[in-house]
Amino acid sequence: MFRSAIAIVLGAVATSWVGLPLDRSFRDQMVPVQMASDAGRTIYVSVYEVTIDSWRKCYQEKACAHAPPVSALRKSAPVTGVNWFDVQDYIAWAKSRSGLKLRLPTLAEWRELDRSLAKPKPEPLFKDPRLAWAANYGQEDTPGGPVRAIGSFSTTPDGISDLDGNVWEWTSTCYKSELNDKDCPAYVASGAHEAAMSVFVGNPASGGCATGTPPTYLGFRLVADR
Amino acid sequence: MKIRNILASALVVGSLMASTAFAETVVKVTLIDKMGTPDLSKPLGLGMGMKADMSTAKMGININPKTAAPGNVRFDVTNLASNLVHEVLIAQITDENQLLPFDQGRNKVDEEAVRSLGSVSEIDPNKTASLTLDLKPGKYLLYCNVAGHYMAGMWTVIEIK
Amino acid sequence: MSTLNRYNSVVLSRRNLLVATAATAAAVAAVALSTEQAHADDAQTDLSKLPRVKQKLVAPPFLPEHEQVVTSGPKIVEVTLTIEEKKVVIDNEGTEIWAFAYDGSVPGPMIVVHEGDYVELTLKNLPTNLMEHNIDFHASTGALGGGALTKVLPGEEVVLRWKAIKPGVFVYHCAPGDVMIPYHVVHGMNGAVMVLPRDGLKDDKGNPLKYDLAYYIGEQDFYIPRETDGSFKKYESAGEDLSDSLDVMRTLIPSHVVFNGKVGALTGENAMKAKVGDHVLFIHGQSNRDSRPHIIGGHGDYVWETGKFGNPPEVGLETWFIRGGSAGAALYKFRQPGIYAYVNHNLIEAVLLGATAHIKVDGTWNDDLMMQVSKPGPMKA
Repeated sequence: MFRSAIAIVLGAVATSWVGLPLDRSFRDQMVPVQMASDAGRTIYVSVYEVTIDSWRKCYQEKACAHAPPVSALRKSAPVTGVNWFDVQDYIAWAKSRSGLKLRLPTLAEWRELDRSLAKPKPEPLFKDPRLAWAANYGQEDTPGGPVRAIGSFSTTPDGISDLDGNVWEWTSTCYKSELNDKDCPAYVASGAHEAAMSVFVGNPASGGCATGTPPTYLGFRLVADR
Repeated sequence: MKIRNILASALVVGSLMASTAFAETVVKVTLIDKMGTPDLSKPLGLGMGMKADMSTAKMGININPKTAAPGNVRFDVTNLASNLVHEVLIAQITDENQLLPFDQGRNKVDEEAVRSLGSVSEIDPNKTASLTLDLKPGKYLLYCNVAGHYMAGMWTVIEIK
Repeated sequence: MSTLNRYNSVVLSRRNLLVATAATAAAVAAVALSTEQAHADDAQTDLSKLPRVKQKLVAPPFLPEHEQVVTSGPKIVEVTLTIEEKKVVIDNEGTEIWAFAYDGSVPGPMIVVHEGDYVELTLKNLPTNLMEHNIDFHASTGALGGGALTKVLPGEEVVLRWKAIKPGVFVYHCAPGDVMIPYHVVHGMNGAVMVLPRDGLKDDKGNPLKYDLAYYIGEQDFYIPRETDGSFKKYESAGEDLSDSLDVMRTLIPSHVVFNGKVGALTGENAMKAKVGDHVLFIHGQSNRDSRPHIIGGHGDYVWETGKFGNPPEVGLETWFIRGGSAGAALYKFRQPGIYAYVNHNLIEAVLLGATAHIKVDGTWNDDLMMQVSKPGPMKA
């Protein structure tokens, strides 16, 4: 009886110290990718963008303040409409739940992941330098349409899905490199093209005047260092 | 202490009951009439259970959704006809293949024999009217009983489950 | 020109009297002229002697093949319009509407004839449709624009012939009656007709104006109902949205204002094309609501703002006004290459609601018209 009492006390202490058991699902959905840059370092990259279901868990555990969007899709869909601060809340929660060193990819890492998706560079519409402002009209081939289920777009040879989808992904690279570790007002989101997004914006306005389409939707995916 | 517990649990139960009472499914009912000013003196044989080719029907009822949860169901009925006034009666049925008791002389479903749970009547063209019923699980027939309309195809079945 | 004194009566001075007499004489002559005109319109032509031509209608923004100046006499132009109730996506977020589309497009196709021609329309209502439809031609005369004579139930067709007595661009739209009139119009059921003068377009001095290209831009206001969470509602069949739509329509605030039926329909791959030196005629129709087109980077060299070619065009306009329920026409000769935007210049409607089109123009840049004298750089002290 004495032994069981000690076991109960130790068990209670252990649980309260460690908290809930670690969530293995984060690790299970990541694949290792060797970066050609940075001396062949390997990072783990999420196969899919962070989903509404995962975001909902964060929200229910009160670690994320931003309410998850409603999805009419039956299958899992990427979470969108999240600004920089929302993303940081989620990453803090995900790190404690998974025990992994989770973070956003840098722009350089994102570009490298995306390189394997063949994208032929189209001929500019106008060659005259005085028409440089119009040269790339209509060539940002951005898939429109509503948010689709995860896995709806292409998968790279490494096994990463949806880099070419209609959800742009936050990176940890500031639009002004000198502000990278300081108070950066806008980070680069990458997708069909790169766009500097203000830290406050979750929903970039679509439509526009002459040239340049802003991202359709803003979401993100996680990477982890070894 | 005990009385307080009883009162507290009564409050909880009461509020739960109240919340379910306010939960309501909305079913959009659209009355289709492609006949204009038709001659419906003879029944056209397109009623329920008659195994007719319903694609030839020029009157009909569209519902969205086609199933609903039990409880309060509000039917929003819109009459898309260009000329005729229509109505909707709702009756519980057991089987979609059953034939309804029909008054051949009047060219109408026998309303004495088919008990309706509720109805929305005399809806003018382009107008919408609503009817809310508390429905238990089962199948229900929605139909228009203006002379000749049921046999012209103006009926549909909704499943409550 | 009589003058009115404080008592609101005409003051007769010698000058006024002379002017008044001249005016009366002119008025008498004008009445005589208009009576002649009326007789010409009323002349009972032997239609059996007129040549018949079938016009192949095409999807907007293009116009059917036609001559600008005709040397032969009036003819009967036969066209067919088939009405289709169909679910269409109207923006890049997947928002849908059950549109009522003449020949399956929003807007319906443009018909082109000349003053004095007859349009003989066969209007078909597909049997799969759920509602009665008809057509009201603003260019025609009588019977509610033909609406009273063209009511067709699903599975029916009707033939109507009307004489094009007034030159200009005009809209046509469905008008079944009661609330269905605005309901059908804001579900895409409208299009336009161009009645050219027999000797073609003329400028304010009577010199001939020719166009190398013509585009028909049909502007459409949509009023899509929303769910309680703000997302746009979707419906299973045509007509199911009637009561919800009427509620939104009553606010007079559209959820979308688009060109050619969809946000971005005339952009990217589908942008309009031209080259430097081309004279392009832009025909703009709005069957329900006012608009004010503007070519960003360009102008309206000759604009028939009210759309009626019996009036001399205004010259050198910045932005012109299309009153709801009408069509207008603007002729512009492109002088610089690049990308132009053609917008409804309520910029909220242009950018946030979808009323933007693009024009891709090839050619050589002209530094005389515009030049970037110095590139952007740090401000000098």
